[in-house]
Amino acid sequence: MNTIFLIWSIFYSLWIQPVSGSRISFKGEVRFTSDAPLEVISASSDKLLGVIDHSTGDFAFSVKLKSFQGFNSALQAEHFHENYMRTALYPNLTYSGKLLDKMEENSSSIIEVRTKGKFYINGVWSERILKHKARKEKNRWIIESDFKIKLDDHQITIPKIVHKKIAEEIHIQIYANQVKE
Amino acid sequence: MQIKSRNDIIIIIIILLYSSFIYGQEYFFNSHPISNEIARKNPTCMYRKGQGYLYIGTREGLIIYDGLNFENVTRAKNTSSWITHLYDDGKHFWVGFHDGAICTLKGKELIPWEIEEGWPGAPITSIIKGTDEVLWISTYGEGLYGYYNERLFNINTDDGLKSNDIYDMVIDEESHVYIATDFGVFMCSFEDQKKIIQPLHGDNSLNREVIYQMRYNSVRNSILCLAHSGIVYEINVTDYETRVISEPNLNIDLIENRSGQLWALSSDSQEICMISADSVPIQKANIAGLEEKPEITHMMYDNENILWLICKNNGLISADGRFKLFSNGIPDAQAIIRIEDIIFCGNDQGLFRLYPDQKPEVLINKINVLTLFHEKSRNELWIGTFGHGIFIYNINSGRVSHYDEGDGLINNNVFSIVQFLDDIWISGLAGIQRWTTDKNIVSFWNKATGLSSDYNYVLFPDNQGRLWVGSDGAGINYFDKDLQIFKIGKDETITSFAEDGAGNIWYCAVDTGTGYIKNHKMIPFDTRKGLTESHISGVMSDFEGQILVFHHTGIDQINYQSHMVKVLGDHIGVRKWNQNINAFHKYLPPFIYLTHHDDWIEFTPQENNAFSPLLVIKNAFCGNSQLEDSSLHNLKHYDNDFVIEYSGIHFANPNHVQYRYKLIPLDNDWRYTKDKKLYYKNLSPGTYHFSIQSGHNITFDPSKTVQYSFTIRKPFWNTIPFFILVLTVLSISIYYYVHSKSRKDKYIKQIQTDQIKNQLDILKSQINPHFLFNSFNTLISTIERDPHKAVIFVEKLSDFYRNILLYRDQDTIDLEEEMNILQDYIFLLHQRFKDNISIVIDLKDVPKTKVIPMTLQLLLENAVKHNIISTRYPLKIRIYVEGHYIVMNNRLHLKKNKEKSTQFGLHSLKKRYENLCRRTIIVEETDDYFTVKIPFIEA
Repeated sequence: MNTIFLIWSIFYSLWIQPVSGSRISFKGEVRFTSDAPLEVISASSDKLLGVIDHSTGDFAFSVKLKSFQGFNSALQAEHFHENYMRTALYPNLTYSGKLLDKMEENSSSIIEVRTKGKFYINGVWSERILKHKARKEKNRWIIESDFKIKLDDHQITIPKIVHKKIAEEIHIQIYANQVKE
Repeated sequence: MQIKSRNDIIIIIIILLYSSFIYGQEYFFNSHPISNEIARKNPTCMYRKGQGYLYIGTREGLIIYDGLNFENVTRAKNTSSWITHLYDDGKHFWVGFHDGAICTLKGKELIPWEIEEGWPGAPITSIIKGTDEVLWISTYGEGLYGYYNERLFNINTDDGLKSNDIYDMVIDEESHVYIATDFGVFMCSFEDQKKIIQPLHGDNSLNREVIYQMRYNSVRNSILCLAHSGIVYEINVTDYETRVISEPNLNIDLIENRSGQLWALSSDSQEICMISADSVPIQKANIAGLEEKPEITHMMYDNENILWLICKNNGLISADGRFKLFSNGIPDAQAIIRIEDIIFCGNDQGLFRLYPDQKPEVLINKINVLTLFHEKSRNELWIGTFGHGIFIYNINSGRVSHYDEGDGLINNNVFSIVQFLDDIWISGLAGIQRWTTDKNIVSFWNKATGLSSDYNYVLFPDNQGRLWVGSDGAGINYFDKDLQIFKIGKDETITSFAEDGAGNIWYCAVDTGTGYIKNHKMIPFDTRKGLTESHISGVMSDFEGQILVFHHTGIDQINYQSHMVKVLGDHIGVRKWNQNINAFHKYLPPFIYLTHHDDWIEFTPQENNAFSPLLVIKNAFCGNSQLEDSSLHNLKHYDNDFVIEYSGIHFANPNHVQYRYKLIPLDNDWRYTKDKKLYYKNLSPGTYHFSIQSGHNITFDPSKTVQYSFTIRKPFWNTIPFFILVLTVLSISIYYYVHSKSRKDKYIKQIQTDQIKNQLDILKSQINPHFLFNSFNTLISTIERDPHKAVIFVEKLSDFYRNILLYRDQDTIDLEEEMNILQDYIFLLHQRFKDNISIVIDLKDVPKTKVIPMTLQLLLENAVKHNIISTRYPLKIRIYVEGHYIVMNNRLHLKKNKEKSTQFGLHSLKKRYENLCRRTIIVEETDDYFTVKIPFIEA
């Protein structure tokens, strides 16, 4: 619960306090793809919010699960929210933690930034080290990321009957833009 | 040794006085040929697993060393090759870099480790894999990483670690990882996805210490930690009890642990010391064999008991840790024995007691000691001398008693004293005497009573109840249990015996070398069987029953089962062995004592390694195909150059490593080489089996053969299916060619035959007697009536025959010419039949066409031949053109008595037209008319 509090406090500070120099906030898009033998499910949301504190290396990213759109059917979306993600209980998908590498400006070329953070999905924490690509364009940071999440890590079990319709690993793509101050 | 001059005495005194400061055990170090290379490249770490290569990490890449040659391996261009750690987990050889990169070594290539999470961004300080399959990676700056289930996780200050800077890491048998940090030692583990971090702080000062080197002691299940302060701590892993095991005044720089013994390098004196974990006082180990005092930066003790040191000034040096040299011995010792903790040693000056850390103590002065024997029941040391009989030294009381010829001793020159059948047996220059332990003489033997010689240098009781006797120039005798004497050999001089693990007796013969006894015969084991040197000093068996052969260039170890020879030579520091020395002694395991010039040596022959050098294949290629051990490769015809590179690793004596190989079917027998690379060029297609073994001298272990099998395929144009295909295509085409030719020939032949037959027929028909008879009749009647006309008749007849002769060879003639011939014939017919025959020819506007010669004549003749020609039935023949045919048509009045016909004429004509112009003659026969249509032959 500490981490929830941490995310809360970061977001709180982002929204309530005037933005200080060491914090940068992001908005962006998330797309997930489940590439199973029988069906490809893909949905996206443009409601990704994030904040990175330069001085401490803390970061938090969050997206409301209800904002995902683009399911193959309404029934699929319903299953997604009710059976797998349990959206009513855990409305947000979050990844928060600390940067392992410093996000230092590097004359517009792409830098690699590793983060050590925890995903909070389906009420289960899972720590992951992820590698992201970051670049600065027109004085704004752009972060792109591409990784996979194992459903098993978050105790999301797939009924055997739909085994060939949902992939065990969900591919996630992220594109986040620094919000203008 | 006779002291020859005053100077010698002074030098000895000086040495004895001065050396009291440097007394202590020493290790004889050798420089390695890669020292310059290493010094140039800033070495950072060392690693060796089992019998394999020595790997040295440097700031400029990896050095792979086999004892003689080395190889440099670096990362890809534009990347740093600053190596910080090396580790082999059995599956992969891991290489950690200063920039956080991690690679695995495959052959001579560093392959980047691909992980989703990316490499750490800080120097890798250690890599270890536990039995739980977690690969731990410690970094200086990012804490600890673990790799499990294809995921990399991290433990750093956010998880409760006190510092992200980890200097060293060890793992215990339960896969707990211990890390050394600025704030002491922490235990980390990863269980059920949970990170566990536990500081190892008891009520000690460890948490205020910067720990920067650690070793795990598996014998005591403890971790040895070297603190920056120079103190070594031992932490018991079960209860975390911590104690200081180094002396406070000794500043330790480096530590290394192997089988319970801690090796430490003291920074003040740059000396190595051995710290026993059992609270035994620290023993200093001096470095011998080097001209310059080394400035050691790295230390490693490997599984083969080799102590490796990297020094700033000397590069890479190594010592065999099994040979502990003590420089405070006596010159030219002739006998050495350890009894409990006392080491006795004798030379031609007297009997001495040796100490590890002080100068020798004189026990009996001015005797020439030849042999020493411990009589256990009275705890007496029996001393056999040259010229002075036997001295007996009571170890408990220190009393010395003396026995010589005056006391009944067989001879004052005593070469050997042993215990056999509970009594003491003494050999000298007058036979063998048997004494009781109470010093009562029981009996004696000499040449007169059955021995081969009176001069006997050595006695050896074996484990099978026999006493072996080595004589001077008269071979070997032995006594069995019933004291019956047996003789083996004739003229050998024997100086020592040994019994191997299988109960075989080995001997040392002066000048001829060693050998063993089989079926009462001496079987020599000389240089042709792999012994390094024929001039040997002695033989002895070690605690495993292997035979040690001492010679002046080192020690050969003979495996009593395989008779393989392992050479311990240059690298053990005993290369200048006294040739005729007999001073070696087997104490309780694992100690063997040897003497060497002024030194004595404690040799602990722990053999945890194989007898043959480890054969490592660097690469094996056939053409472009890399070959793998124990699988049959199927290669293309152009992959026919076999190249193999290999190394046999035996650091104790790399110069004696040899290889033998054969490529079946090219080589019938083994080929021997010292080269480390082999070529076979342009192998012809076929199946090959390559075998290679490594060994010492010329002995090889057949069980350690490396084999490669490959088949070089024939080129496709050389394969049987291709050959069959070519043969088939060839035979089919030949068949068709021959067939078509024969058909054509047959066709041509047919035409020719037809033609000839036709000509013959025409000739025959023209010389037909009827024709001639009729013609002549006509001629006769005409001559009478009209001689002028008769002349014309004869002219026409002759013209006709001339034309027949003229045209018979031609295939075709113009219709006009045919008509000319026909006119002659018609004239003859008209003369014969007068008006009874009427031939109407209507060939106007006929295109220029050709006919077979005599066609029309033949048809006319046919008509004349078969029809009645009379006034009543005149023969009316019409010749005209219809379509593309010349048509001849006549009314039918067939003769009743038919002239004999061959039926050939028309038939043959028909065939000829078919063959010539592929068109046929049409014959139409009605009741009244007979019509023949002859096709045009276009010119």
